[in-house]
This record gives sequence, C-alpha cells and structure tokens, in this order.
Amino acid sequence: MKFVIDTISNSSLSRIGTLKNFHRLPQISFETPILFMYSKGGCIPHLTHDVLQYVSKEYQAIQVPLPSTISCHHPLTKSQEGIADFIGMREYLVYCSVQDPAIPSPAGYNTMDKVSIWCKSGKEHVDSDRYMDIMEAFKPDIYQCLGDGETNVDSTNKRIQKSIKRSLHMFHRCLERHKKSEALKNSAFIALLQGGYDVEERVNYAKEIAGSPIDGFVIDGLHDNSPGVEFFDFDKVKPIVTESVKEFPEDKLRIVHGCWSPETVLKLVELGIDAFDSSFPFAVTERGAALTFPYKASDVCDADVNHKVPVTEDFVKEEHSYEINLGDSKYTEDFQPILKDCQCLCCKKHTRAYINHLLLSKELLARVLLMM
Amino acid sequence: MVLETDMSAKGCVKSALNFTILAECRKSNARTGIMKLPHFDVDTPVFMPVGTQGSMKGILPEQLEELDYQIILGNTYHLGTRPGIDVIEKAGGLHKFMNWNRALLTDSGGFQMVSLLKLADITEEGVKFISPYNDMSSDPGKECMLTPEHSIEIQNVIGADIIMQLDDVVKTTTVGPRVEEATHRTSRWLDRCLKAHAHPERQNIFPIVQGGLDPNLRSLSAKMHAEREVNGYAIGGLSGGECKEDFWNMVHLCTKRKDEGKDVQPLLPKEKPRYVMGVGFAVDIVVCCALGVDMFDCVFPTRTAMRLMKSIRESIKADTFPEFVVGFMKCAHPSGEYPKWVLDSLSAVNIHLQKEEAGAS
Repeated sequence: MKFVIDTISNSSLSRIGTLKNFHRLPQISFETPILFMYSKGGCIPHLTHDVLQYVSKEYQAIQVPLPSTISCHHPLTKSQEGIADFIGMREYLVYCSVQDPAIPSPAGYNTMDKVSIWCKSGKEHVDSDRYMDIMEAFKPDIYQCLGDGETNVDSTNKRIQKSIKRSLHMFHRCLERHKKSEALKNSAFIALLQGGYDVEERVNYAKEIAGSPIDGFVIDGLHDNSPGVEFFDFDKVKPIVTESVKEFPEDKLRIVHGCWSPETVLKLVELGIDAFDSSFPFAVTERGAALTFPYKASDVCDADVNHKVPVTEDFVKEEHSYEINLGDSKYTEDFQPILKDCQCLCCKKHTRAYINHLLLSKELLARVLLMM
Repeated sequence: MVLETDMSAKGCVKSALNFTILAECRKSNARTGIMKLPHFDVDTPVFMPVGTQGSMKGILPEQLEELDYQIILGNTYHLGTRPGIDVIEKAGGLHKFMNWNRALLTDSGGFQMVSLLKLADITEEGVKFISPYNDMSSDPGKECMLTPEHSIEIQNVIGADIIMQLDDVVKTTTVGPRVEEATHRTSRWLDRCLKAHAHPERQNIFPIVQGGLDPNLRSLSAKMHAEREVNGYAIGGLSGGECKEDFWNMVHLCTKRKDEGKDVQPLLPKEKPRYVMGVGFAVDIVVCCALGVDMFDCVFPTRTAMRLMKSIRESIKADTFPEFVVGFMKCAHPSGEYPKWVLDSLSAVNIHLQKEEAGAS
C-alpha cells in the first residue's frame, strides 16, 4: 500500500490523500479522508452483495472486525484464499481490525500478552502469535497490529500504563512476525497508538513506534466502542489527537474508529485524521432512524481544502438536528423521501411513511432501506 | 399445438384483464399464456410470491424485478390493519406505497377466518374479527366487521390488479350442512362483491369456487360462478390438510374437458385464467398445471417455484410438456414408486408415467 498526500489545508491540519498500489487490487485507489465500510461477519449489515451494488458500484474499502470473523480462521487455514474471497468480497479492499467499532467490548479480560475478543460463542483469548496466524490466513490488504486499547476517558493512570506496556509488547512481537511473513508481505501494517487521555503518555508512545516500518496508525484507547461515543466531548479528544499526530511522519495513514457524530468526524478531519468507519450510520439504522443532513459527495471530494470545512454554528448547536426517528407515529402519513433531492435509491423510490410501516411491521426491508 | 385464443373485452372499454393462450399441451389440459393486467403482462402458469405486509421479506422491488417476478400478493387483512387503509389511500394505492410497478393481487381478508378462527364470528352479514394486533395502530381486542362490501372497498383502495371476493371459508376437511351453507353464502357474497366493486375497468374480481370436498357442491359452486361476468376464477378451500385424492379430484372437476370419455365444456371456462389458492409444493404445482390451472400462490420457497414455472411454460411452448412431467416425476421419485394420486391424476389427462417410462427403457 502506498499513501500519498495530495493537498494540505492552509487554514487547518486537514489533508487530502490517495491510498493506492494494493498488491491484490492494483487497479483501485481511494481518496482520503475515507470511511471504511463497517462489516459484521464479513457482510455489510442488512445489505447483501447485490443490494450493495445499488448503493454504489464503485469499489469500497471494508473494515472486517475480528470479533465477528474469528470463526473464519479455522476454515481459512485449510484454503489458500484469504478472507476477501471467503466472504465473497474479492473486488473490495479488506482492512482487518482487532475490535468491533460498533459493539462495546467488556473490560477487564485482557492479560499481559493476550487480548480478549468477544465473539458469538463467547470470549477468545488471542495472543500475538495466534493473532498473526489468523492474519496470515486472512491475508487482508490492510490490518491492525494487536493491542490492548481498553482505556477510556475515565481510565486511571495505572490502567493506562498497563495498556501501554502490553500494547508495546504486542506491537514488537507482531511487527517482528510481519517482517518475516511471506503471506503478509503485501499487506499494510497499522499500529495502535495507546495512552488513554494522557497527552504525555500518548506522545511517548508515539515516539516509541513512529520510527518503525508501519503504514499508518490508529489512535486507539479513546472509548469502549459503544454507541455513546456519539456524545463524547470533543474538547477532551482534541489535544490527544493533535499531539499524537505530530509525532509521526506525514505519510502515515491516520485512523480513528468509533461511532463519532458527523460533526466530530468533521472536526477530526480538521485535525488531520484520514480514515474513519461507518459504525455510526449502522448504529443509527439499528435504532430505526435515518440521517438527514444535506451533503453532496462531489462537494466533499472536490472542496478546496483551503476553505475551512463548513461546520456551522447551527449545525452543531442543535444536537440530532440531522437525525429522524422513523418509528415515530408522526411519519405514518409523511410521503416525503427521507431527504429531499437525495439521489440514493432509498430516497428516490421510497417514503418516510413506507419505512415507518416497515419498522412497525418488523419487516426486514426496513433496515435494508435505512442502511442503504 | 400452438393456437391463439384471444379473450378481448367486448365494446370499447379497455378490459382490466386480457388472457391469451399461447400454447396448449397436446395431451393434458396444460396451457401457457399471457395475462395482460393494468400494471403488467404476466406469463402463465405463474407462481405468485406472498408479500403479506407490503414487502417481500427483505427484498427490494428492484431485486424482485431482476428476479423476473411479474405479480406478487398482498394480504388485505394485514394491510388494512397496518398501515391502515387511510394511509394506503393517501399514498395513492399499494403500488405507490411500496414502489412496486408490476402486477399485484390481494386476497379478501377472508382466509384469516380459517387461520384466526377463534377470533372470528361468521354471519350472513360478514365476518366479525377481534383484532389480534397489539400495537399503537389499532386497539387490541377491538371488534371489526368485515363484510363483502367492506372487503371490496378496502381492496379498491389498495388498488391491486386482481382482487378476491370475500368467501365463506370453512376448514377444508369440514363435512355436513356447514359446507353447503358456506358454498351458497360464497355465491351470495360474490354478487354483493361485484355490486360493490368501484373500479371494474382497472381491477378484476376473481370469484372463489368453494364446496369443500363434496363433488356435487363443488360443481354447483363452479357453475354458479361461471355464470357471472368476471375475467378469471379461483379455486379455494383446498390445500388445507385434505388428502391428495380429494385435492386433485376437486381441481380436476372444475377444469376437465372429458368426462367418462366424452368431450365436455370445463366448468370453469378454458378462456379465462384459473387460480388454485395456497398451492404449493412442486409436485402439486406440476399436477395442477397438467389439470389446467394457471396461477398459484404459497409461502413455499419462492425461487424454486419460479424456476419450475419457467420450465413448465417453455415445455408447453416446445410441446414437450408430457416429457417434462415424466422427467420431473422421475427426479422427485427416483425409486419409480409414484404415489397413486399422482399416477391417477396425470393419467386422467393422458400422461401415463409408468407406461411411458416402460416404453422409454
């Protein structure tokens, strides 16, 4: 993988770049800032492969979290194909992550060299070697290093120290295996940056790993992957992100995961973050709601980065002004699309009233339309 | 044998249904045709998947079109309860509400008499239901009266291409005077439905032949309904746990062209489409096609049925339908031990499984 920065803003730290030169998919490239498509068990929730084609025929980058795919390890050891083929997404870029950004992971089960992965059948303890075995079987295009990111805004200094010590240990072990691995020689390696909400620890950790041959890093350990991340106080996150980013060379991909609210994502882009995931739209779908902020994909991509990303006062002031709860009886006779003039299939063809009916009738199509 | 039998509407009013038989089997009563409906031209024989509440289990209308579905079902009772008839009316009908541009068929709501019998009380006026729904859109335990007029009024609002009369459904295996009462009441209700129908130019009421498993009552019901001015017929009250002998004989009774060796007019005229409700399994569908049925619906896995219908249509056109039936039954019963009812029903329409098999080997 190659990451090239195309433009850097004059007025903020935001930047536009290109991800390219993927060995498995040489013909495709992605513009950043990018949203990795959140998947569960190798499937975009509620969307089958052919429905996904209605959403977009363009190649997408999919995030494949380990908790819902760890069970694929055994069959894949018996086959040469990687996880992309196994989940029927061979034309999509696959990025494997340790944790699921939309499912809170219970705390207190990690040990010195093992991370607990919560899957359907319960808890799996994964150490660096088992993790790297799994990754060698999965052969992802991009993958995270193993780490203990079980810190959040309330974590004690002691817990942060533990997270750092364990994660560094795992980082070195994973990187060592990565360098030697034949199966992963074409996969991009993403480090997990730990340190909780302690700026000094973050900076020290960053210094420790910044010189290593990594392709990018995740600012990990900010939250517990719950939908509540939406309501986090950005001011607490800001110094962590600002100071962490400074320590790495510019051409490292910067990733932040979780169900951040749209305005927080915009603010993180302003701080120079390049990649996110789509767990927030998934969380909104699960609560039977739809997002209604107006946007045009082309405007976002073509925007002159010299202009500040438009985060207006009004937009931030009224929390949830961009979301409607379609299960509410006030939409029973509302025959408008979810968002007027939106060109997506759901908005072009269906109404709020119909989705309200599908939600009340517990029809599967309700969440298909919302997820689209 | 390929022939064109066009059943155009008389006069200049555009008919809401135009059935053209494209080809007929040289031996059996099987036929394939096109049923032109206001929203779409439907190839018959056709299997109609069930989209009870205005949605086909997680499948987008676009996907249904890609899978080449031409007509799907909606359930009047469910739709009338939720989202409610007011909402569908304001949306401009079910086609618009669910964004389905092809043909639709709705039932009368009467089938729920059987499936929710404990909740229903049937009188000459209609069916009194107690709503089993317990949600914000209707009061649980609320009594509702479904009359033939009301059923048609609701179906007129829903706007399906084919709508069903309200019939007096009794459990298939019921015997005695209740069956006779239901048979006659169904015909009386048919007349009330036809009278109440507001859109004959764009919606077709199909009468439903009842009569339980009694051949005399069945014939009577079919004869009475055949006298009405309608564009197609349904055979109801079957596929409810009766034995297969009874099942095929009741269908055959309505469609047969020969009786004891003599040519006869089928009780349900051959120029109009025939619909057996609630069928079914692949074997039943193949048998009913041979008997001369054109339309089916069932919650039976839909894609299997779709493929089967396509094979049947093609084999009738290619004039290889008897060979298709023989091959199909051989796959379904590899041991060659065919159920008696399959042998009997097919031989009644000149398809002889065992003889042809013996001849082939």
